[in-house]
Amino acid sequence: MSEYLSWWWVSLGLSAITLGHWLIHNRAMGVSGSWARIVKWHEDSVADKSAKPFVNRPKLFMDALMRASIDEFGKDAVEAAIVMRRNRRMTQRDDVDVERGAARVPGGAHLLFLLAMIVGSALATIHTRGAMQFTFDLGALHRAIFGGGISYYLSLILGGLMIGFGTQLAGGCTSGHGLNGVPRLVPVSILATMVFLGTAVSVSLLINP
Amino acid sequence: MNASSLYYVTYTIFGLLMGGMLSLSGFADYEQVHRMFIFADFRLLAGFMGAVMISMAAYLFLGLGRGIGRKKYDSGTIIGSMLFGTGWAMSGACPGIALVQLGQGQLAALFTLFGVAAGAWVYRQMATGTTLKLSTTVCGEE
Repeated sequence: MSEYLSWWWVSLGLSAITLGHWLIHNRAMGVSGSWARIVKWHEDSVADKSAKPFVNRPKLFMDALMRASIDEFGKDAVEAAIVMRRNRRMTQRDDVDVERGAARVPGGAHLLFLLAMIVGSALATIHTRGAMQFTFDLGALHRAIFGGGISYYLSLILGGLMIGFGTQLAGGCTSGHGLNGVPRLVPVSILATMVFLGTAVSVSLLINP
Repeated sequence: MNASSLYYVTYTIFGLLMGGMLSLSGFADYEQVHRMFIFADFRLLAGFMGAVMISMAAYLFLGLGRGIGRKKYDSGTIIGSMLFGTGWAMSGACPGIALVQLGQGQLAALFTLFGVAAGAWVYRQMATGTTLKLSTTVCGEE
C-alpha cells in the first residue's frame, strides 16, 4: 500500500532508533519493560523510600544488609557463606553494580516514553492524512474475523491480556527481544522471537477467513 | 540537569520517534499485520528483518551494544511468547503497537491497552506473591 513506507525505509528507521538507543542509553529499548515499570510504580516508590537513608553510604548499607542477613539466616550460616565466598574466585557478576543501580531510569521517563509513542503516532497520522480520523474498530478485515457486538471488544481485551501477561512472562516483546536482542545474538531473544512470530503466524492462518 | 532528569527528555524523544516510525510503517494496521502473518505481503516482515540485519551488522562489525546486559532463558520464555503471539494475531498489537493504534485514532485499541496493562499487572502480582514464583526481569526495564 502506498500509504505506508517501503520496507527499506522501515528497516532504516527502526534500526536507527534501536542503535541510537544503544548509543545514548547503553540499554536495550523495550516497550514491555516500560509497561513493567508502570505496573510496579507503587512497589518501586516504596523501595526507593526505604533505600533513601543508604544512598551514597555503602558502609551503612553493608552493615544493615549484614544485620538483616543474620536475623534471617542466623550467625553461623552467614559466617559459612562469607568463608565460602572468600574461597571462591570473585567474579564480576557477584558484585552489586552500584553505579548502574544509581543511574536507573526513572519510572516517569518510562511513562513519558509510552505516552510519547501515542503522540508520535498522532503527529505522523496528521502529517500523512491531514487530520485525525477516529474509528471504533481496527478496520474491515478485523471486523470480518471477529464480528460485532460485545464479543468484538471482549476479544480485544482477551488479546491484550495475553500480550501483557505473555510479554512479562517471556521477558520482552517485539522491541526488546526482536529489535534489540536478536541483533546482539542473544539466544533467548532469538528463541522468543521465533516462538511469538511462529505462534502469530499459526493463529492468523487459523482465523483467516 | 543531572543524568536522571536527562532520561525524561531522551525517553520522550525516543517515544516520539518510535511512535511516528511505527505509525508510518503500517505495523499498527491490522490488515497489514494479518497479511504479513499469512504470508500474503512481505513488506512489513522485510522491514522488520532488515532492521534486525542492520543492527546486527552494527553489533558485529562496529561493536555497538556490546556492553548491554544479556537475558537468560527461563521457564517462562516459551509459554510467554506463545501467549503474546496469540494476542498479537487477535488484536494486531504488541505492547507498543497498541499505543500507536490509539495515536492513529483507532479507539478500539483502548480495549487492547486495558488488557495489556491488566495482564502486566496480574503478572506482577503473581511474580511478587509467595504462592507462585515467576521470573521478574523484562528487557529495558532497568
